Amino acid sequence: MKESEFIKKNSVFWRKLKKELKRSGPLTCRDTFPDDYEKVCYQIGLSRQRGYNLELIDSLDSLALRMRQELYRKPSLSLHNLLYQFLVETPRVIRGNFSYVLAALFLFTLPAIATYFILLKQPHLAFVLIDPANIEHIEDMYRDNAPHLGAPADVDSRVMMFGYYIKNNIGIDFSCFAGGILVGIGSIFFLVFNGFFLGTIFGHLENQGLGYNLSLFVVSHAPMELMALVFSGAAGMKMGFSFLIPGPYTRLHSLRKSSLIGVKFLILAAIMTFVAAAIEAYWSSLPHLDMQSRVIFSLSNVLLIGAYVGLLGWKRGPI
Amino acid sequence: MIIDTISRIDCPEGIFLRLRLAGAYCRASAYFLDFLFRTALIIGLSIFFSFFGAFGTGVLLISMFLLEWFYPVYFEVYRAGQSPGKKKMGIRVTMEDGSPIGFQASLLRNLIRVVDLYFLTWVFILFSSKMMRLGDMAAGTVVIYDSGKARIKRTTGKDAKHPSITLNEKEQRATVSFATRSLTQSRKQELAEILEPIHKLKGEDAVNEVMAYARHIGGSS
Repeated sequence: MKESEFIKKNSVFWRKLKKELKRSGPLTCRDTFPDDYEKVCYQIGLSRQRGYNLELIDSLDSLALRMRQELYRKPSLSLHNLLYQFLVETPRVIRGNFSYVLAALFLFTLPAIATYFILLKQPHLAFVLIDPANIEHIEDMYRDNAPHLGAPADVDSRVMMFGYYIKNNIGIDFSCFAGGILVGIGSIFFLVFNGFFLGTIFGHLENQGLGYNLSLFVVSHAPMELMALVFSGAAGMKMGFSFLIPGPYTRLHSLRKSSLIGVKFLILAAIMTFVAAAIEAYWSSLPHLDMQSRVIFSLSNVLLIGAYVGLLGWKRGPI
Repeated sequence: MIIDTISRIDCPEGIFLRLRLAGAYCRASAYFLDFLFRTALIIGLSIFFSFFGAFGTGVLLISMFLLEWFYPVYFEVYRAGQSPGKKKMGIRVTMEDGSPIGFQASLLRNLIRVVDLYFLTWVFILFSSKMMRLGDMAAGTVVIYDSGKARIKRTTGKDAKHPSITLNEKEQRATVSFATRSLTQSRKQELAEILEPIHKLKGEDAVNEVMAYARHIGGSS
């Protein structure tokens, strides 16, 4: 067939497709769309083989590219999909990578505990580990007459603290994960550093006799917030180590596989930190709550996390 | 190995796609534009929320968090891979196989941006075969030029001429590429004279002859 005949015969078909692609909406619902795509692909091969004009081939190429993008579009996030990810996939993935979670947990808690006990023995070290001005600020926050424990906070300043916790803490989770791309070093650094920091503050305030006040404030939101950091760190380490030790895959492939798993961890961590921020702003700062109810609340959070990781997503297949 | 900025994707449908990868300079400019835009947005929001006291500060902090981490994600997923800066520069993000980017991949590449900003990003872009930074490697994404391929319009008048032999696709592309690239006159003559067996011309005439072939072919290099 001559080129001009070929164009004449098909131009209506191509124009129709181009017009259709301009409209937004689910084109792929149309039953014959995949067939049309196949036809265009066939026509490209034909044009190439017959040595038709380049401009024709180019226009068919771009038509095929757009049809392909339409066909291969990722399904949009449906509620069902989100729930499935959150209630089935994520717990499964966490159980499947539990060694990383344990490693991250130890990398965080061991430095924290160690620093705490070292500081009880060597109180002056606090001023070496943390900037003295910062220490003073933290001491002020937990004095007996400190505003957010002693006096009732108004609604507005709670919103402010909520925003601050979100920006700061979820940001730390994200950085902790992202640092893992450097063969895990960034995540390990964030975990250990935050462990040291926490241990130093606990040790120092204990020495100052403010340990009880600190515990009173942090005990409620600690499980959610700290486990979120541990999950982020675990995801980052998984990503980094999979690049270092790729097993049967190429390094790049191994990195990709594990980082997609990491994202699931991270979305969970972001949700947990969000919840922690809400608890911190609206529950932990309540002045009249006694230690007992705070501890019960905290333990129920621990149970909740444990149940989420341990009980969900055992059944195979979609929910 | 051919060093080329075009990434060829062979599809199971028997066709191949040609993605033109965007380089470090273009992407840095896009990032800078986005940075300016984002900063302007934050300044605007700060002024607006300053009228609402502590409550405003809280909302401002949350919007800053969202702008910091999810600004590129939103545009990449819902605006076909183009943040405003990228749109201005005529580039977009797609998956390595040319398909649209999804939420998880977008989140991934933008989280790892933190590391990329501190850690030799441009070295990675320069030395990886598909101009990927670390975030792109983890998410399996590439940044490509939207269009803007150098192209030549097909004409049928006197200034277009059918070559005496039939050119296949590769030869046609080479001809168009010759016509669309900026080369010095002497280099043009040198290249055009390679086809002397076909057109039997020399010097300036040879260049004009090959340009006429290119106009007959049309399309992009």
